[in-house]
Amino acid sequence: MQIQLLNRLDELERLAVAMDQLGKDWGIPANYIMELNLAVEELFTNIVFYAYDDQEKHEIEILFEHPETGCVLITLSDDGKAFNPLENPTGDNLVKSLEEREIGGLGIHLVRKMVSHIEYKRLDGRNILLLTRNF
Amino acid sequence: MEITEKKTEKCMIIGIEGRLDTISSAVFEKRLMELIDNQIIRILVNCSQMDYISSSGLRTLLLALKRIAPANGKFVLCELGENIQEIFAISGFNKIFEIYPGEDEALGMF
Repeated sequence: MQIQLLNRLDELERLAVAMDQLGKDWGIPANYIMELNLAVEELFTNIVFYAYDDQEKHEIEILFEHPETGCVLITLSDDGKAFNPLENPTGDNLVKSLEEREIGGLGIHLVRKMVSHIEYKRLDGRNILLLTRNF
Repeated sequence: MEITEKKTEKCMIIGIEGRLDTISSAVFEKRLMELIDNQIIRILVNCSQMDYISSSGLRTLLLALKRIAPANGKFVLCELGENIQEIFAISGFNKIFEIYPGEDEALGMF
């Protein structure tokens, strides 16, 4: 299943509906779908906020594959500027106190926890993020 | 997402129903900031009907806590579902917030 989202936050609703349907079609429990939805939302909003300097419409492609029982592959692809969210430092700010706690980095930290494997590549002027989730 | 508000003698109880995602958390944040601006700084958020939260939702809650704590108010959460609890644990937010399993128990803390 493939879905094209515009670089606008209100597309998150369409994403959630599509992923719920996917869960039903593929027989994936709702809590796994919620976790995958969370990972995709964090990456999608990153793209919307940071990938484009212009005010144009852009399409973000998301491909969902279910190659075998217990495995879902998700590929996000955008034509924004080169950006590897995995290079974002993460983790250490989680143990800091409330006062010194940094807010950034939380989204990508959640993504890492929601998937089994994540990989970034830059290909033909596009950012490609490959997520693997084993159940 | 729907926000319900119930004023009690002890505090304001806010119920969040549905998804606290990047879009809806902006709406929730605006409302929370209005309340705090109006000196309503004793707040209990009941999460029993919340079925999704993303980092933006977590940030909104943190922002409220960061404003309320130094003002000697109280910002408490209760009735987090299993999935929501997991997100809180993964992000370390379970250690930052005062969280209670039941609403009555949480109200007893005010």
